[in-house]
Amino acid sequence: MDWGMAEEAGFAVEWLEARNLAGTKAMADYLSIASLTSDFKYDSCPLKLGCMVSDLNDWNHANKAEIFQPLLLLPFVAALADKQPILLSWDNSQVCVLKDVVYTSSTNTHTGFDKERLFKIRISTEALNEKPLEFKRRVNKDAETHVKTLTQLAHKTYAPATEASRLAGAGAGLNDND
Amino acid sequence: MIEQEELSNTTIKKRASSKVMRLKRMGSFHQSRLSFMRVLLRRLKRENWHFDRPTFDINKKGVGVATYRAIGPKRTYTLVAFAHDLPAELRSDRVIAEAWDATFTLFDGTPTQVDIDRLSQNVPLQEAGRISEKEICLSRANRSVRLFEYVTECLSKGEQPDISEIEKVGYLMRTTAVYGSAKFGACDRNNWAQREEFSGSFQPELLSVWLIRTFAIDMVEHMAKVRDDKNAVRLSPDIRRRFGVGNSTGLGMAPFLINHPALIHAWINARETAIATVRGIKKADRNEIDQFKSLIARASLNANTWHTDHAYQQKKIECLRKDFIKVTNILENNILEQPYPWNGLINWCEENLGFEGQEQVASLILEPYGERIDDLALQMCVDESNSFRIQGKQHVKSLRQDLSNLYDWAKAIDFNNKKANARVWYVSEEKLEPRLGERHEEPIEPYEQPLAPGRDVKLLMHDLENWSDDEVVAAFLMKHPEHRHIVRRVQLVSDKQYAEIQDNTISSKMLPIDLLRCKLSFFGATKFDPRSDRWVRITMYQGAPFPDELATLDPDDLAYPPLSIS
Repeated sequence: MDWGMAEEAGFAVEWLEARNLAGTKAMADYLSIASLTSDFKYDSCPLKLGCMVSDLNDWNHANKAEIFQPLLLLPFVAALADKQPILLSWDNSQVCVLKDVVYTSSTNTHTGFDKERLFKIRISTEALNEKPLEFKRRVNKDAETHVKTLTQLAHKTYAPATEASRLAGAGAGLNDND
Repeated sequence: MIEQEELSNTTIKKRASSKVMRLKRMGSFHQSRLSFMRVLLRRLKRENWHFDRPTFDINKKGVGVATYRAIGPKRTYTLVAFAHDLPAELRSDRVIAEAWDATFTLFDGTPTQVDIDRLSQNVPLQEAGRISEKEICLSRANRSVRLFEYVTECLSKGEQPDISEIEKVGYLMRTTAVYGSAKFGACDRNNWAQREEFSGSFQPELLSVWLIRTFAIDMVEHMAKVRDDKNAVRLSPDIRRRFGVGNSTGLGMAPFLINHPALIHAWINARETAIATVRGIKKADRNEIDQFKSLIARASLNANTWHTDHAYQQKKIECLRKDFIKVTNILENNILEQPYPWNGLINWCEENLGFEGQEQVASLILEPYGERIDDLALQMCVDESNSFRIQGKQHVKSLRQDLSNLYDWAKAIDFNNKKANARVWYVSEEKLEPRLGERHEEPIEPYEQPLAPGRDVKLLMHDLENWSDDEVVAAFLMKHPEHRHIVRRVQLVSDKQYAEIQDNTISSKMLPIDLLRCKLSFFGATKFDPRSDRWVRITMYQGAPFPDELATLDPDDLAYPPLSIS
């Protein structure tokens, strides 16, 4: 994944988790199969589609697309929901967003996590008669395994240490007794 | 009417980014009225914050816990300090150390005993522990062994330490990391960023450090009393103020300047606006001139007590000391009696002084004009999430124009040249810290972080060549997702003249200490003491009032050493 796309992925996870939606799980599951979709270049990639929606400020071309982990598209669609609600739906799931606030219920978002399945999404400007999800500050405890998966993936960007790099790379002295 | 016009100030343009945003100059920045430590102390004083020490439970070995409260109009914060008995062989400057003389957290509110018990199990472990949403910062410090011992000995005998011995080091303890924002379980920045007392940059971290300074003094006085209960004395106020807090800062801080272009613009733009404002003043009155002359003398004392073994910085300090003599002489020639005196002085400095001297004077001319410029500090923070989204409808023509306007400096760099492309910024898996490696000598290129905007812009320009002007950026990025990072950056910096460092950040000649110096000067640090090309020791809060004297002393007046006790 390129840096720019990785930034979008990080944004999406944080946005979802802050609204009590399972962003870490969706991202961890998606990245575990993402190599199958050839590095985010296929139209089935929710991040690639999300970038298109966000960049063009237009969701029409994304409507009826078939993507993995449809929840991951929500943060990008939300950028367009400043003045009117946008409803994202797939299977029996429905999530509505308006001015950065998500309206849905847990029974409404329980599908979409099937790792290897493509979901046909629908986007419209309808509202949803549900309560707003409360913002939260911390990732839920039950997300810890997914956080671990994402952390392991992050480690792929870190360089294994060599004795030379230990000494030269940081450059600090070893002793502080002065 | 004519007379009134003659008295009016004028608008002087801010210095060009091509002049300011060069590493050699940024690596010569000095603290100013807008530095974050000074912003913090001004606020604490203005709002009548008061301070106490509810707990000081430290035993004869110097082991235990102490708490320091800062009580403001709306909220209270508490530094919880754990003192340890550290064997010499475990004392290390490096961020990767595993034991320290003292460890700290800044608690949001007043901690209960249950909180302190929980923190005592975690804070001493630092990175290996876990703190909670109730804590805002995590930090640690080591003693300056020689000075701590010297001062303990003096005080235990009933004597005050010698100023010249203090000035050789400048602090009793130095921090080796001050972590904020959600690190190791701490409170996320988003949860306190809206608090008025933390508006600006790095305010909770610097509140921690200021309280750590008091703890270091309390510790040395405590140990002196342990040594000789009958004869021990406390430090006298004037001498006590000569102790700052040290800090060792390595590469971790360097990528920050490149990763936060909007914030860096906000910092530098505020200082440049202040400089331009003062340069636009038509006439300086007698008080302002006298105050400035006195500050030149005091700042030159600072330069005289600035020690380093690093040849690069030694040369710069020597040059600065000579520059002070030149400035003192030109002031005798009444340069400040002329119209637009500060503009005249800055122009003269540019022609006659080195970067150290130029930037020192640029900071000093702000001192007499707090009323006009101090509010600029309110602009020195930014919500970076506002500029995250890429404007995909921008036309390629417009992007090309932005590239041409903003990155003219990069055109001259040939990144095919090995020396221009010598370095790789990466993160080490072992310690999760930024590192700088040699591209052509180590197998680290696959791990490269995007910290070379000049090179990335040139690659972008190359791939844009075959795209027609009327196509949109979104289409280009669909084809070239590898440029998504740099396109976001170019769009972000397009209206921020001081956002981009106009130098090659992967050149063999690049000195990370220049990046560190720039950032630390905005914190308010002094006495920059590079220990290599990539880490530096500094002093913070040297001369500043302590919590128990903030109500009666002016922190801004104490930012330079007094003429009398040196």
